[in-house]
Amino acid sequence: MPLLKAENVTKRFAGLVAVDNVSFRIEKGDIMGLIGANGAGKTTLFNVIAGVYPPDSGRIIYKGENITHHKAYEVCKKGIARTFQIPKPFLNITVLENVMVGALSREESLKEARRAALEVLEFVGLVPKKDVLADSLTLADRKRLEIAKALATKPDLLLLDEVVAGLNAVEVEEMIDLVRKVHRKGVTIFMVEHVMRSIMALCERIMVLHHGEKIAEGTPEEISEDSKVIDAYLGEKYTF
Amino acid sequence: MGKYKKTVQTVIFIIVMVLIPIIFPSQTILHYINLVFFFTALAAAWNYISGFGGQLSLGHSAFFAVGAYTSTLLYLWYGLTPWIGMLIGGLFALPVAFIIGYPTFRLRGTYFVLSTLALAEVVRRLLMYFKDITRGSVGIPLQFTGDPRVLQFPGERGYYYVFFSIALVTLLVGWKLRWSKLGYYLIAIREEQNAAEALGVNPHRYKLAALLMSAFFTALVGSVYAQWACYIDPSAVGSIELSIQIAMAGILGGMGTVWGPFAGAIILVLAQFMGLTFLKGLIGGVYMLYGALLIAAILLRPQGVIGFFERAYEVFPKLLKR
Amino acid sequence: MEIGFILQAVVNGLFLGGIYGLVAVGLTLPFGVMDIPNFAHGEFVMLAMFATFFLWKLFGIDPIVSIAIVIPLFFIIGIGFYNLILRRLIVIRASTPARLLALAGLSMFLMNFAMCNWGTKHYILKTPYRMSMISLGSLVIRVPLLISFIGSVVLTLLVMLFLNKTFTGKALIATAQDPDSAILMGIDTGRMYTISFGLGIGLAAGAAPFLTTFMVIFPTVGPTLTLTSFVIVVMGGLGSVEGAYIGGLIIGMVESVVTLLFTAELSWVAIFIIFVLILLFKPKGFYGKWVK
Repeated sequence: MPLLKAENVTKRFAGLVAVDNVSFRIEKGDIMGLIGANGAGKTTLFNVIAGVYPPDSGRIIYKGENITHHKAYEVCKKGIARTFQIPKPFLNITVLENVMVGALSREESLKEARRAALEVLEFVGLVPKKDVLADSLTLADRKRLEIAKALATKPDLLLLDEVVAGLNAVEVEEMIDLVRKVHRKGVTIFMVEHVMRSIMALCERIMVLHHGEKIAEGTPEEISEDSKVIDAYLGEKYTF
Repeated sequence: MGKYKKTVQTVIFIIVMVLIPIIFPSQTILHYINLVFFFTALAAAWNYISGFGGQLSLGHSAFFAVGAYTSTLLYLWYGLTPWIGMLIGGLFALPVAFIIGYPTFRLRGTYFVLSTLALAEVVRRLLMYFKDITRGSVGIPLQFTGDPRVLQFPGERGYYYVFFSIALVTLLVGWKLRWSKLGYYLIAIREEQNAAEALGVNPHRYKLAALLMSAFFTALVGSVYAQWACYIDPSAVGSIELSIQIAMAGILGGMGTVWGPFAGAIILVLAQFMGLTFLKGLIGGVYMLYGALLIAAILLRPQGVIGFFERAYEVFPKLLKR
Repeated sequence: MEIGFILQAVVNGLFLGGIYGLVAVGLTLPFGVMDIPNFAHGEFVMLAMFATFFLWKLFGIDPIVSIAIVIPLFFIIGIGFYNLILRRLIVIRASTPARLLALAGLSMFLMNFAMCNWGTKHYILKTPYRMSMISLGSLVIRVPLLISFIGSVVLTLLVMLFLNKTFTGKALIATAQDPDSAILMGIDTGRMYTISFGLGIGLAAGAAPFLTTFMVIFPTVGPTLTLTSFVIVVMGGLGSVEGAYIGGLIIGMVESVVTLLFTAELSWVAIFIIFVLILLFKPKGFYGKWVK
């Protein structure tokens, strides 16, 4: 049974079709990438899966359960966590407290949540900054915090929305390492990305959206040689 | 050593507070101190939903009125002591809160504020409409017996202990709230609701919880007030002025801080006192001052007076925690 | 209850509702464009009512005529208050609760300002036609109400014309729908905000002279009017002029009929129930245009 299955998902906004009849499946342990031009529907698809809004038609099946119309907080409880393209930290509380909010979805007491949050901070490498207010973090650290918050909810599936956008070359490499580390821990990953380096380095399978439609799916090599993808997105043959 | 220090501090604090009415027996001074504790309790309860929850309420007089009328009527009809009546009043306030909380928490903040205003108006008008039960705008004067068994005392001193206790309780509940799962969730919802939802937080449920707590304690204070003033009518306990005063104490002291309500109450009572002394005879002069004060406070310092001292005030409870 | 009485109440309510609608249009405009709910809206209506009264008392100007003075005057006053208070609120990026409180403070200030100056008595503007009535069969139509209704329709139509046909009007709509895109199109959103607020206050002031022809003037009329306007705006859909006007008509009729069948107090309860029902089932209102 695949971990996540999307069947004929369609989402419209005021007449504009953002996601057009998209179907795919993700197996446990995959790292699946999602690429496409701006406006191709990537974040919309994420939002539908994550429960921000329901699709106009189609289904989302997670671990065999139909979660199509689940709200965002229900989806999280089921085991799907997500990060936001522009990080949304809780600015006026500390880094540790930020992660505790995530941990409280699985722990009952504050003490337990604090302990769990510290573990996560250790894992992502933010322990030195644990008592710093979130609004004084750099972008790279905010992205790390996003992942930490999501990990604190102990997800089986992690949706990463452009997790390296805006980072410099060094930070991108660090982030790639972190994502690999998360994957090694057993979390299935579905990531949206623009930066080719990270997608090609991390993902075993890639899906391509164009104007809301899925136009290709395959390994990085297959994708980079697919003429439809090259026309629509890559521009020229991508070699790495 | 640390553990005993905390206990010693607490004991000294309690002794001092108990002795105050003995050191200052003046009825006038005690009356003003009681007024401060009165508004502290109200602002503290208001803070649960408006400060921590970030959902501004300008209609808390609705809950206050429910508490005041419930315990008073139960006392008048069945001789039920307000000590128990106030708990029932608190419970009655819950469905009232639910009626506006449930529909509006799914929507933007403005809708909640609007519905609190509307609710306060409706409660006030309903109290006037059901004249047979509530005696309408004529009001209900209570016979003053000074009997502590019915929550009355011969002088301000007795009321002092009650008001002090309830102020302390509401502040401590606020403190406990801040450092609890509910508190963390409320802050997360207030700061970034979408991010909170992505972390498994159902915003509507927790906002509602904060509102219900707030309504309950506000009603409680309403009941105590009824026995203190010995007279209630819809415009005394259900007025927009009261709602605004409560909100002002809350925001002037610093919304979302644990001890802010106390500071805010002091500022409010001080302003009222100054208004009465210097603007005597000018109806509405005091409220003009309030209005201007409010605007100035927001434009110059949206976090509230305490914003500056916020760090210090948060340190105090952290010390108590250890 | 004779059908005749009910019909009478409906007609009265319709006319009254026209004015409610006009006031609500004045509220929904800045609300839709700037997303700042003006809690002091009713106070501006109240102040305009006093202005109308004094124009009549001191210069003998009939309220209907004084509209030509009152509207531009309050347009400017509105811009003044925008610059004084609202602009700073936007600049310091005050949170929603803070904005609401600032405006509530303004409401308190203005209302008590009026109380201090004119609080001791009720003012009645006695135009020659104040008590005039026209009979239409068994229906009695009060002339001031009729004039107010016609006036509200005219003003609302003018507003709609302005929004849809003039460049500034269309720029306002664009700013309301998407401020970021509006900026990219070269629209000065700051100026749009100023104009929308001035316009909103101007419209509120436009309703005031009509109100003076049949209502008693005193400083505390503001809050109820504000609250009613908000309920109407929510019902009609934020930012929608048609929604606000039609909502006003409906509320006017509901208030009138319920007052007839029960009491005035209960009419407010009825409006509240409608409000809660809308929030539960149709929170975007019926004509929700620039909904956020």
